[in-house]
Amino acid sequence: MLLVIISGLALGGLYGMTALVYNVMYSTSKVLSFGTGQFAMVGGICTAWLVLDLHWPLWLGFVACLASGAAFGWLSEVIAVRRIVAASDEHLWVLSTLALSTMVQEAMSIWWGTDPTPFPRVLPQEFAGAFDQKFWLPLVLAVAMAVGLEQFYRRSMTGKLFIAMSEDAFAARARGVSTDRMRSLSYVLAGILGAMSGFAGGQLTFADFALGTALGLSGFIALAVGGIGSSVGALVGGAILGMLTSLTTHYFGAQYQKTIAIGLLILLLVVRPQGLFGTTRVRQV
Amino acid sequence: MKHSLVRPGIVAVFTVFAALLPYITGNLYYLHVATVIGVYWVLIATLNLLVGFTGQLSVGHVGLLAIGAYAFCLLAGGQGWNPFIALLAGGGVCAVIGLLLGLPSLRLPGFYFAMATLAFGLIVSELAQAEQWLTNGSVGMPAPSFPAPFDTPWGFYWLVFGIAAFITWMTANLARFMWGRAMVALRDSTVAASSVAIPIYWTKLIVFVFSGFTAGVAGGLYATSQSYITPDAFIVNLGIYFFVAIVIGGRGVIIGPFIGAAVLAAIPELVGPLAKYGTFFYGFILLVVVLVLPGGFGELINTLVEKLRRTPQSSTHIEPDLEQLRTAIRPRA
Amino acid sequence: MSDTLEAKTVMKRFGGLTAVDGVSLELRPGEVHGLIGPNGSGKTTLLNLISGYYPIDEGQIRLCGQDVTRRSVRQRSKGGVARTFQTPKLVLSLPVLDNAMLGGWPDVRSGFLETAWALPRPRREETALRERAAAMLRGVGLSGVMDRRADLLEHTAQRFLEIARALTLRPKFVLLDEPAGGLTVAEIEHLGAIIGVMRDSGIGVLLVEHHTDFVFKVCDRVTALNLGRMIAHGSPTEVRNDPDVIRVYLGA
Repeated sequence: MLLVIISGLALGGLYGMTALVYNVMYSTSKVLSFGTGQFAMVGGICTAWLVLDLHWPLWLGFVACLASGAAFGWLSEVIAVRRIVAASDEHLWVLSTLALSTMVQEAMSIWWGTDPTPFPRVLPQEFAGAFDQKFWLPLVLAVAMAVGLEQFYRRSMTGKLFIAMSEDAFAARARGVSTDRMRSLSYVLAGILGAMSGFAGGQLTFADFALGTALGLSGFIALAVGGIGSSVGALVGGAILGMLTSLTTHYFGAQYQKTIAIGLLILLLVVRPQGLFGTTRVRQV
Repeated sequence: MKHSLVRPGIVAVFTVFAALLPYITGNLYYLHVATVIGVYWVLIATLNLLVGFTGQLSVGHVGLLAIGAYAFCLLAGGQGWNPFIALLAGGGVCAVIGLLLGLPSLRLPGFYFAMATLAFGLIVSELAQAEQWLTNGSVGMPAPSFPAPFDTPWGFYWLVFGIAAFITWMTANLARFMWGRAMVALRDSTVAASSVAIPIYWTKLIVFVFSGFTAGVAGGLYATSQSYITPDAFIVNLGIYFFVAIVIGGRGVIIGPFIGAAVLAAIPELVGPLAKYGTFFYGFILLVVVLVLPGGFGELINTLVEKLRRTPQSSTHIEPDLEQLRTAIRPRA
Repeated sequence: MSDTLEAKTVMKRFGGLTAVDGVSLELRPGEVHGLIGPNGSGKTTLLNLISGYYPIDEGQIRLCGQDVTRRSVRQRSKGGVARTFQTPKLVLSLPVLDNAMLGGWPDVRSGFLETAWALPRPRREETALRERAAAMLRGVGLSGVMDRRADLLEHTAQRFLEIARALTLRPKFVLLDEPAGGLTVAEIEHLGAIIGVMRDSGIGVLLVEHHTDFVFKVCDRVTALNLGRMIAHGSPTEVRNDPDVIRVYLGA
């Protein structure tokens, strides 16, 4: 039972991190990217390839993993978001990010193959059951990431500008903020954080080309349950979904995971559309 | 709408060509490809109403296709129902599921709906694998064929052709009367739509249920066209293909997506090496069209026609006709 | 039985700001009622409250004697309240005529399947609505551009199209939000004539407008707002000479 709870929390950490990545991109662009989960997938496969196949040292693999995330984040802003945001049509950014996400996933499945492969051990710890690194790493990192992001939003100039843009992008631009640069920056940051979550969760998920779509979906559910824009909400939403997934698997079998998770999402959103920690904003005319 | 004779002419020529296709090509493989395109079209034609007209991005229609296919095989194969009844029943099942899925998710912003349908697609393919007692799991199940005269490749082709033509006719009617305007209105401006009392949520829901029904029918036809179904046939990537066909064809155009569907389905079949890169290729096309030509080719053609037909834009001089206005506001009251 | 559109001591807050503070207003059929006030005085907010785009915090909206405070925009439109917008809200990818026809939606009885099968009723309704909308468009002066896509229309023509769409709804009341914005002198004259016909036909018109000369010219009654409160109410002459109104406008 302990294992069920611990693995649920670990999954929750992974989902929570993905929700945080959604938030980072949403703050500057109001785009919920279909490719959010792909950062973790690319980071994970990149690390597994460099460390296990090419025998790079682990720290260098980690650096390369973050670099791949940064590059991918930056590219997705340039390719799929920059021109679309100007058009301000939800229809279009859903499509462009879906297209990019599909391309990346397919490219990976062709190059890396469709079977999940092992991920290297991060710390020299003997396998320790419920207290193994594969469980606590994503959990600890998720909390650290949420705390770090909150500090970043409150303390640093760039973070404050992200918040300013999420409140009112027009006003921010009118005050001389380079909103294009800020948006690029937020996508690079999102890419790095996403790749980091892929690294932390690698031992749990393996290096798998299909991880991105599943994680993008679960991360979004965590985000919607917690409330868009809230870091605490992301963690709580992730934890709820992770526990639920783990308990469902334990009692009913893995095939009902998604059914139950999506059921939860829909039920909660009908009752509380803004999520647990979200706020509503109505402005139509 | 007052088009010249050009459009009906094209439709007539195309219809005759499509109806006579089995005589034109003796090649059974080409006929099979044409049949599959027709089956896809049964689904895409109404998905286009949902995506192109109403602006709701359903990524998971492949899940409905799968349910329609399994329902057809179970009812017509296992239970021995008449295949036509089974086909309609499959459509009915999918309409109900569409209703259950749309009821909560269409109330939420667009991305939520897209994600909910994506999840639905994934769930269906997982359950098709897992619920062996029902679906035979990854072993799959055989699909019954239709009774004579639809049991030959060309007979079946004509059946698919007839159903596809009927559904195209329905979507064209919906598009050209008030319902079509209402759909486009709620896509382009919810504020404008509610100001003229269009029921936004119900309209989306009805369109979704309708497209669910034809997706179920398409599923039954798909099963027969493949003669054997396994869960692998219904991966989410197929949903991407439906989507790309619509976006390429252009939103708000009835026949545009057909060209998209035909070209996209034919290319990997006819150019062997592309098959492996199929989905990557679809993603790439989707990206290019969204970035370069957000209205799709259909809109491009419409704009060109418009340019050719019209004299240069004269500035609008507004000259009210007050007498006319008076009688129009109060028509003999 | 009353046949007016009424706002009774309506209150609306946005966060800490009270945008509309206890304003009452009665719109009668066959009357043009002007709503003036400086920027941020709550004119457009009040219009959005009456048409139902924002929920109100306190007070009541009554339509023909019925309490519609909790009714949606759609139900109020069906009840005969039509409106236009400060920045025109059109379906830009549809032609002008189709946009005007949308105003006839509340009268459409054909169901979804009936339309899909092109049965007689949808055909009949289509013809009737097309004629009704075309007559309105000719009436407001857009006869030359009916087939043009709405996004190719100039901004001023879009304003007239919105009026035609609102009239196609066969409304009892029309709420016009800054209809004279960006219009030339001649076009403002046309607008005045159109509003006159609306009044003569028994429609109650609420005119939210910046352009005070125009308001005083076409309105039967005028309400002036400042900072969300009503500062004057009465005939154009009374309001024009009201000391508070003069102070607000001349900034004494």
